[in-house]
Amino acid sequence: MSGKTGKPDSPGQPPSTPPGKKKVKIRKGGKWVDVDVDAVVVKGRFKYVKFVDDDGLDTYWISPE
Amino acid sequence: MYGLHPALQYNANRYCQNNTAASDYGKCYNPYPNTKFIFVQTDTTTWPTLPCESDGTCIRYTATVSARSFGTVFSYAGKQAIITRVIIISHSSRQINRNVIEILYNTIQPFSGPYGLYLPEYWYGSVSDPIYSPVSNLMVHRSPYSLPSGYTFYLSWSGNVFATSVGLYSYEENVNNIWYGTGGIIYWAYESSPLAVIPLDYDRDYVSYQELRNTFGFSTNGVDQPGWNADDIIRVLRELFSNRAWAVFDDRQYVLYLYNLTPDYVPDWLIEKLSPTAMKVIQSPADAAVAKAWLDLLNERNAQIPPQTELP
Repeated sequence: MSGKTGKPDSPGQPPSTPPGKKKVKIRKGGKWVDVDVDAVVVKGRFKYVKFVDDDGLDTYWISPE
Repeated sequence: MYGLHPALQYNANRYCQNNTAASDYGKCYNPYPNTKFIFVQTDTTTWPTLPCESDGTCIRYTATVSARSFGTVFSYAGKQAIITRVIIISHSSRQINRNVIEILYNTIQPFSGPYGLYLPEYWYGSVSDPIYSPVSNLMVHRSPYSLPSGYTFYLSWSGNVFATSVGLYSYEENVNNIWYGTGGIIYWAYESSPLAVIPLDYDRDYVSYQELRNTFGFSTNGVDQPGWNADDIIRVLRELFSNRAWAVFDDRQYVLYLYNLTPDYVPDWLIEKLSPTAMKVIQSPADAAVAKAWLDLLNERNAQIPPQTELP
């Protein structure tokens, strides 16, 4: 799935990663991992970065910044 | 486990020698593999090292204690577990007057005593063995098996009791030159308490409302859902409310799952309340009105919290 459009990627093609996407390190499963950020969402006091997680779901993870 | 396996029967060949006149004093024999007996001997002048220490068959303590702690089985800050079954066996050099492993501190009231005990004390065994307490469903056999050396003990309990933490203690009562092997099995369920965030509309969704009540109703106290996890709740809600918007909060991973919702529809007050580490969109809203209805109902039922006014 492409996180930007919500449409499935073509079979056999690697997921498209638009150039210039900001990379952010998040703390996930006890490890720091790099993710390509699609958007930043602020909810109350919290800031979340949006990306497509390994499970294919649009995910909003709390921003480390 | 210390020297014994609780699922195996007593074995006369598993013991230590604590007769100081014996030539094999301080030796321990045949502990259950990868375990050691406990041996208490304070005199380090006469016995700087016991044979069982040298051959790795015992853990030696050089100080007597009333109650020796063997650490914490579990501890859940702000949460509780439901303990359902306890089995303890022991083989000891002295007659046991109290449960050899006596569990449990921080059990909830009214079970908490001076030590937070919930298992009956030794006087239950002062009549005759075996002892059965019909009130607590506790079964105790002292010396169910006569072995050439030492005394045996068996305790079995099943029921339901809540505890935020459980520790293991052995009551040695400040006696020196003793040994024991003991093993136990404790069954418990951790209360994960995932939350289904779906304002129910009894009049509109009578059937699914009842199904949800019936499904979630299987719990010890009717409120907690021990054994449930967020995936379970999500599966149930998908079945029952496939056309509505709802959220499920996994309070172990701190993930808020959104169905027919996006974070735009999640009110800030809910974010403040749950502080999710992540939000995951299981399904984007096919119809914005469904998501809006969820938000409106949620705000309406939490009217003391200012509703979120800005929507996409």
